[in-house]
Amino acid sequence: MKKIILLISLVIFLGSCALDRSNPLDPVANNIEVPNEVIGINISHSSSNEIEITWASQEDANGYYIYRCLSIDGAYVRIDNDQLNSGAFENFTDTQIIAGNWYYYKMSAYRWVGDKRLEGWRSGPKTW
Amino acid sequence: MSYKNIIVLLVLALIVSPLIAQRFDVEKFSDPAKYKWNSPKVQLQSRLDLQQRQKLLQVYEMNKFSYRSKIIKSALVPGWTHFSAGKYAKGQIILGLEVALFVSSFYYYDQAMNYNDKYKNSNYIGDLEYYYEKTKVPWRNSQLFFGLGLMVWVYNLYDTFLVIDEYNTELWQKIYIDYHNKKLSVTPSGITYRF
Repeated sequence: MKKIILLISLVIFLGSCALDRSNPLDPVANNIEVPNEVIGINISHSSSNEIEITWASQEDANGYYIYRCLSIDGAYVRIDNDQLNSGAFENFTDTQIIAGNWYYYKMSAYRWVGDKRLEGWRSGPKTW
Repeated sequence: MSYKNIIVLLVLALIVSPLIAQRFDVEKFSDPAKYKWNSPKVQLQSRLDLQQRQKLLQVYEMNKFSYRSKIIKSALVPGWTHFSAGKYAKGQIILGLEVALFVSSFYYYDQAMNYNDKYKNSNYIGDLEYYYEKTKVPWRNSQLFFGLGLMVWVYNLYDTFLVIDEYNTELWQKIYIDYHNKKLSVTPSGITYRF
């Protein structure tokens, strides 16, 4: 009977063991502050070939990510632009668009953790 | 103590020892009645019986289950000894359970590791949280099935001991009964027929 209890305890113990949070970017395991969600996003269709995005800059961010998609719930693709690699920026002009299409944007802020970027929560889809 | 004293003591011991020694009774030592051998015929019969028992023991030693080899085999392939002992149903249950539990454990482990890899490669906080949460359930299931598999494996080893004991006992009884029920026996020393 003691052996059975020991084995059942072993099973419960093994079952209760969770995997380690081994990602160095994990804020829970490494006590990292996650960048805040970008707020104050405003999108305006300034001309037929340009879309201007503005937002409230964040002091603790090292840069921003902007994602673009042709539909609200489609696959958003990140816009790769060096202009976004600074937390101080608060506007971006998207020129790689096709006139007549409707675009949706999502934004997030990132922060460097070692040699990796920790991306904060993404905003909801925005359009003009 | 001087040499003189030692010599005197030795001489005294030699003189006294026959007086206190018990007489060796040759007749008592070689009394055939001690083993209930009342006649040469009975004595011969006893000798033949002893020789036959030794032969039976040799047959038993050749056919009995060895603890070491059967435990190793059962540890590697659960249910092996049960199959060898003719306990097919139990062997199938043990082997089936082990395969099902360890395969399930591996399946969930693989799933958990797949999510864990995605978690490790994530740099978006949403993906980090999502994949870590997704890892939890398959990982727990994997551990649970592994633990159950371990329990069945330990039980398999425990039951293997019992099966070996039972098999060896039955084997000896079978050899003994077969020998006593057999009328005709062919041995290197000749043919014996019992009426």
